[in-house]
Amino acid sequence: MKKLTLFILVLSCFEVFGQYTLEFFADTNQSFVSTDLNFQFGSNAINNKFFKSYYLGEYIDEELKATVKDKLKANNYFGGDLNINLLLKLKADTLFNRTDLYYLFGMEQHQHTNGSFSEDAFNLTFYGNKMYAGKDADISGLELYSFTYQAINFGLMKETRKNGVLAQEGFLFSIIKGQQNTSFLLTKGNLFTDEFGQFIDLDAQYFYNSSDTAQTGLSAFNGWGIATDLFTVIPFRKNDVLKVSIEDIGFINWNKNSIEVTGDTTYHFEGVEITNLFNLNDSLLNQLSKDSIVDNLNATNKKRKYAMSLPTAISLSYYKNLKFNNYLLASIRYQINTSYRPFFALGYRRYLSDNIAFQTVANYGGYEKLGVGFGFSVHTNNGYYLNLQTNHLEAFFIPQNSFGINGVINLAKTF
Amino acid sequence: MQKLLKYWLVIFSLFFLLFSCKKDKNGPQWDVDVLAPILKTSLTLDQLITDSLLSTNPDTSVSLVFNNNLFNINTDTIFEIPDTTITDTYSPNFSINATPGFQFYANNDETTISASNGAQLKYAIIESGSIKLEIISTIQEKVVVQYDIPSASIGGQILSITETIPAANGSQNASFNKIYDISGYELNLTGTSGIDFNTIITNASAFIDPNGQTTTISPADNIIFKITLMDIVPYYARGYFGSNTINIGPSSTNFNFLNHIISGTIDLEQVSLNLDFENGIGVDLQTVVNNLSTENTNQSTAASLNHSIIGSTINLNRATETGSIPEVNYAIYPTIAINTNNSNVDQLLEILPNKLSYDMTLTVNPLGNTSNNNDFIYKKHVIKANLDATIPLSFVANQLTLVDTFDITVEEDKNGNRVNYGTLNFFVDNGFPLNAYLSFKLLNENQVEIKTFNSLENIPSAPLNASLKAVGKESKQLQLTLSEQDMEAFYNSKSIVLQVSFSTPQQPQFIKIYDYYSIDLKMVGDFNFRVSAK
Repeated sequence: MKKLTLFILVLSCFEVFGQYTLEFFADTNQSFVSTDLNFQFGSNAINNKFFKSYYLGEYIDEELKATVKDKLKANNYFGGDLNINLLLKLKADTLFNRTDLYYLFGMEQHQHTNGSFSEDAFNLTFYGNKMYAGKDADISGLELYSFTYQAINFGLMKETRKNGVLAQEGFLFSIIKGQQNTSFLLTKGNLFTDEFGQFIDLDAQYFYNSSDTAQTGLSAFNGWGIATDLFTVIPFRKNDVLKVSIEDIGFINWNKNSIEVTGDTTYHFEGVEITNLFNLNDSLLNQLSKDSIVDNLNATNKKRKYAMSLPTAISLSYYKNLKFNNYLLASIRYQINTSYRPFFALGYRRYLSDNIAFQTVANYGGYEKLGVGFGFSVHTNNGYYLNLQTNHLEAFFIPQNSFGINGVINLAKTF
Repeated sequence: MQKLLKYWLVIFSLFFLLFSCKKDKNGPQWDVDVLAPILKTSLTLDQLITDSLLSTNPDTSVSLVFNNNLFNINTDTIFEIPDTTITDTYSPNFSINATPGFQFYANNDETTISASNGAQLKYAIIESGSIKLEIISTIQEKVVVQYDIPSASIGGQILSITETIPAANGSQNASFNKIYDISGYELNLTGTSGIDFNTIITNASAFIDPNGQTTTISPADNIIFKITLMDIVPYYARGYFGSNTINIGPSSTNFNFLNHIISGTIDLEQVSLNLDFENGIGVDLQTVVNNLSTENTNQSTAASLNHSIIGSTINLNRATETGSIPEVNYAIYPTIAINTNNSNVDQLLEILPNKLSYDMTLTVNPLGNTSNNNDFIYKKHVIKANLDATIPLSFVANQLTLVDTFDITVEEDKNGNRVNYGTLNFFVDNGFPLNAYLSFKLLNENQVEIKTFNSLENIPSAPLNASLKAVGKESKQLQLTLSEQDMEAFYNSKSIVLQVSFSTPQQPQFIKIYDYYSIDLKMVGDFNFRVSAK
């Protein structure tokens, strides 16, 4: 039973998303409190060394840029999440005249970023436009999407035993406080630089939304929303288990101080027109102001509220008992409304004792490429649990040649 | 369980604060190569030279025009009424038992004031000025003093002052002084006879305060009356203003018109000066221009005008009164034309002067009192000498160097985005018939030079047709390479000194400038740029 408990614990470690990563108590009398931190970033072009330098605010030299440039494709994407959750699972003595129900309460912080870009967009950003002298740079499809929110959660879960194995099903409902959102989409984008730099032509069609830029901190309340998670664990014979979950079915309404900027423009720039060369400063500064540039781009700029769908994630995981404390796992995950690709994982777990287990996993998809993960789980006899896992061990050893990084830290205590 | 929850909330909060709060850290940095236009401009003559100095001729060629007022002669120069004090003293020959209201003193007097330059004034209207009355009394009772000046009146009322002087106290004298504004007063300076000049009539009287006590006035007592005319400025005056000579100069005035030109040579095809004299004063005048010259103190060169006017006597008639507004008809001397055909006036400008010097004499009433004391003057109508210059922009120039300084601030933005090094490319389309050479210096906030750039190439003149008119524009690309040190100098600079040297082509032929000439400039940056994302 403890092994099964641990198995489920380990199983849950494959769930790098979701607010209810702890369903590892076979004993239905047990409640628990847990907190976990999970983060991940991946790209099909940006390697971990580049990402680390960018994230830590370091200088990105030409050699580092080249490691990404060599891997660029026609369409490149990236994405990442940072989640922090606190969850309390509390047994209900009786609820609706039932004794197999549990309350779920929690809170979470969620930050998400994803985007896509063309090879030319990367080159323009990190190399500049000089390499495109006399040529077009196609930056169509440039997309950036990010949001941050905090939420409180509550739900119900039912646990029963089928064939001696724990079956679970439940839901988790979230009320969301939207902190910040930015989305930018360039449906059409072409930049031409004259051979001698005498003019630049921009042909662009773009959409930009942002929550209130005057309020961006943790206390910002720029929107509200709701979301629902649904999950079920179905045991089969011989201790095989199927787990299905759908997370973040929901939306956020951003308030009326949100910004919407759209434009469809062809802009020809030959330099700032100076009427008085001998008063250069004022002439240049006045025409290079952000507002004047926006005006020149014929952007439609208005404040209005808008709604945003959350990126809903669907996960399926199948556990196969190989006997003698060995288990095999296969997992599929997909997230809509992002540039996330279908994610596949194949793992192996082994119990070293009743209190310790480890696992390895090979995975592919999501925002990143092939990865090899490792996890470690331990619990004490008085009910403390610790899980540490990553799906990309290679990120720590060969950052220049790895394209994803993630980690999960989970602490739990039963009572 | 509560303790457990509390413990877990702390851990959650730690995770939360550690990973979710926005860190105030520097963003990543990288270098990019940017090729982009920075600015474009078209320079025309009216941007190079103040509009008010340019005049377009019928054939669209351009002339420089300016006006210089050589001198104005006004009232102060013709004559002045100095501060004048009239003193009257009373002291009895024998003791008087003065009862209240007893008038013990009365005196009518005429006093002559001394106007400068021998002016003999009959009448004046005061624009501004005052009378100060000072009285010192030893009489041991209050004294009422009445002081009339029949020569001064306003609106038909003569100037009459009545004041009560306090009583003296033993050996302590009583004193009184007060200032009275006489702006607007008319002064009849013909005296009692009506035919005198510069003469003021005064009537003084004194009596014991009617509300006082009987007092004895002894021969040891006295009252001293002092009346002072102060700061008298006439608005109008009539009389005879004397015959005298006024020296105007030798004097110099700064000539800033060409102060942006620091070196080189210029040969002007034509210069035309018009010298005008206007007389707004009712006096005959005779003027002699002794000298008109220019000087370039930087190059220690000077040139004096050779023209028939130098040393010649110019007689200016007197102005006449209209009896209405404007008050005078000016007497205008026919314009004296000074040009390259009748003088060396072009040489005065070709030395690129920074000083204009002149020396003239002006004689008032050279033939004496021909007006029979009817000279007149209005303060606002003066004697003027104006110099109008017209200089067609047709010249031969050789390395004529203009310099100008203007402020500039090149700053990194607050996030640290900056230019590391690169090249500035200038695309010039020159529509002026001038070969030009550019250089510039960067100055820091203390106006100390920190970098000089001399590396810009020559900008060729626009092509000329057979009439030496520019047709089309000549294109040229100039390049200025900026190292990291050069960029650092730019960031530290607060102003730029721009120096342009130009020469006309096809010398020694004169090249004319037309108003449609322009030079187009586009600056393109080819930079290595440090991006600081935040």
